Amino acid sequence: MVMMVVFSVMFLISLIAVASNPSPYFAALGLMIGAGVGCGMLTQFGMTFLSMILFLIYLGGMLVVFAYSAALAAEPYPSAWGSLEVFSYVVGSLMLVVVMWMLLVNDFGAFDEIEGCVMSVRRYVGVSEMYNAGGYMLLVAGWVLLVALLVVLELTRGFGRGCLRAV
Amino acid sequence: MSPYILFVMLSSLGLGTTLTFTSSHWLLAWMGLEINTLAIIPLMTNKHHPRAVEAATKYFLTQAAAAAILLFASIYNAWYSGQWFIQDMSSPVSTLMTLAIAIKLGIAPMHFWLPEVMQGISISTGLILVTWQKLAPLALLMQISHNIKPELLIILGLMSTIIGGWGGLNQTQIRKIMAYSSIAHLGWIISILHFMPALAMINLFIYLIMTITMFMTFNLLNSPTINTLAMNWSKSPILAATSALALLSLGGLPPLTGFMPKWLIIQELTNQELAPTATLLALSALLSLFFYLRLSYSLSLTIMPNTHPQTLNWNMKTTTPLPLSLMMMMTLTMLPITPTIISLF
Amino acid sequence: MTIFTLIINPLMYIIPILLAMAFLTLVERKILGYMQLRKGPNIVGPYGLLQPIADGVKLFIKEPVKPSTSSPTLFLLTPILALTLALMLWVPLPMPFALTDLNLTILFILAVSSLSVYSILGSGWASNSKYALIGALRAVAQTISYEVTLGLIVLSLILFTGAFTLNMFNSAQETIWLILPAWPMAAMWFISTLAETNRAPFDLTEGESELVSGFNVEYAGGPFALFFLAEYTNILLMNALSAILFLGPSFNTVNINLNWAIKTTILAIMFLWVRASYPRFRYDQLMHLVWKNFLPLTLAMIAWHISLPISMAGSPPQL
Repeated sequence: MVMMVVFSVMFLISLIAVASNPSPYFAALGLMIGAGVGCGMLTQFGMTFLSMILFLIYLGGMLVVFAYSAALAAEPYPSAWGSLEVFSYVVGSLMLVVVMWMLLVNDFGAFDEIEGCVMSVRRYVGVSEMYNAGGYMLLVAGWVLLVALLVVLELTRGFGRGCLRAV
Repeated sequence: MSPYILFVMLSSLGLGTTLTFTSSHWLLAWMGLEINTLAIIPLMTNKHHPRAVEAATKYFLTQAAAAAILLFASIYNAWYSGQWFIQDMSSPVSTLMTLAIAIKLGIAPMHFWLPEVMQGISISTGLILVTWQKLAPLALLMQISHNIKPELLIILGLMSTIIGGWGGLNQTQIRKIMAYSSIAHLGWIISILHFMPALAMINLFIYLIMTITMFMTFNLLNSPTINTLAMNWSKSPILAATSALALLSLGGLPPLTGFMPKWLIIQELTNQELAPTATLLALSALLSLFFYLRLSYSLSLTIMPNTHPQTLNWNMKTTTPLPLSLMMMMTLTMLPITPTIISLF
Repeated sequence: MTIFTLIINPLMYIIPILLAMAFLTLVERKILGYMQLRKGPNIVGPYGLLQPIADGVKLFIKEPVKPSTSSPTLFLLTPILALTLALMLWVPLPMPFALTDLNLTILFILAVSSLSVYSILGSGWASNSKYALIGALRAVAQTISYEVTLGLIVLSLILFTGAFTLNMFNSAQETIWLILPAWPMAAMWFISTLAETNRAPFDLTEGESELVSGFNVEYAGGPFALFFLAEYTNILLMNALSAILFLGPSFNTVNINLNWAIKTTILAIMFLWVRASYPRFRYDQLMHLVWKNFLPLTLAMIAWHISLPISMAGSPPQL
């Protein structure tokens, strides 16, 4: 319960970091914290395996590559949370969050519902039902992976022809 | 692109839309949409050019963002109502879902990517983009249409028709004009969707026929701007004449097929006591009609000597492909069989 | 009481780990020395036993120099992150009195060790120096590449033993050490751990002749010491893990820790031996090794380890 509140606040802060940082590197760091804390929230819901796998694949694999490419962006003096512009973004996003909170969450006991949420997580089956329903699903998923591979190959094929490079 | 990969991409395009059509589970529907997005990107950058890459990037970013919102909405729906079925969408979530699908389709306030993307890609890929790629999101929208607030749909529809008409006015590029035409037509489909989904289906069907005709014509004439359009009477006089009529059908003039859905939609809206909406829709069609008229004027009414500083095309292509002829006939002459078409849907 | 246990218990873990790591550095210098026909540190204390302590004290009382163009917060945070992660990795290890007893031990270790990449990348980037950045980029590319094979090797071992828990590995190896049936994996695992910890034949991140010292060029004093500690702690941990995965130290006897510690020490000395013997790889060879040799092999091994138990599922035991 306490952990949940801490995680949620950290999640919010990291998302604000993502939204308000103009330099991609700090935004990537914010995203990293957000992903880690999100995995922590999943653990609080009782889904340890899922959160571990998410942590490993997303944080250990994909986001590293993102941060890697962000680190290559030439930016001698990136503006961080100290500068006025970024600070105004932060304040703006915080105000947005507060407004959304007041609009969407009627009573401030929203965290009490988390217990019920845990129950409903167990009750509706979602992804596990999808895998349980049959192998055709996995066949389609495998096909998607193949198509993704071919798409990337096709976009980056050839010398001097990265997919985002202007000839 | 090697023919094998082309085959994989085209079949994945088919698979994605089919998957979305046939699924009753939000996750599968989302998956189908993602397959669609993924599969068309190599087709977009097939002729490698900075503009094509830019278009593919823009398309990918908007579609991925829309798909993320859609996934979020469906998860929220599952949390809210405890199930994943597409048909049972709870009302507050369906607004979010509608907006996500609107981004995917390029409906008015979220339409900005469509003309840009269309301008960057070839005409034949553009044909896929404005026809086949619209089907899957529209199928989803139709399935949840009874749970969407009609006000939202009408606002989206009105904005689409007005912006679609307005935006096309200032364009000289055929592909951008066709993109705005697509936005306007989707506006008509959206505004009737809640009240009579069957009518929206008819409108979609007719829109598909007319758009395919026009894109095949432009592909055959190989003319990317209005100026080059004016020279096509020398290439294929009959096609020039009929495609001018087809453009008017796209604008919705009475003796042609394009009039039918507009007529029925206005009638149905009036029956629902939404006469002001119907009036606004009809007035906004005038805006679209203006640029269709301008296209058909350039296509068929200007002959040498004219104001366009262009040289004549002399590579005579005498044969018109059979599918184009068939589509052209359907584009022009289906108004008399309106009762039959209504009975089909 | 809980606060007491929350502080004392981790400290009882951290202090021996740091001591072990300190003496690992001494052992390394001694062994390298004798392999090169010299004595190594022998002035401070008997046989140079106090040398690591002197080094540590020296590093920590020096001024932590910070480049004026660096990104200050990140620059100081990343060494702390590095050591924290390195120490966190020890938490789920199956000691007789373990701090935690996780179900998904291996996943936890893989996940946390994958995070250490961020400290390297962050420090290299925050230093705002070409050498540091290039060193960090090399280190990150190398580490995440080898992490893929590490994960896949572990996955086939998991398929072998049937659980994500390290305790289960212990019971799986009651009759035979896994190094025998899974020797190709063991070899690849050992090489991958060398690369994962940026050790000798794969220490391109350091690359003294080109990059001065890699991602930590700009660090001095305390922050540098933290990186140093983290690096050697990781080496020790990887060896301890290899010992559990392949050499089967039996946890349920009395001399558990001795058994395990001896195997870990032998592996660590092999690390040093490798460092003394082999020249540095070229970077493209390093990448070819993992992506073109290890990855296909491990993928094939996974297919093998999935299909073998399934095909043998109906056969009677001891066949």
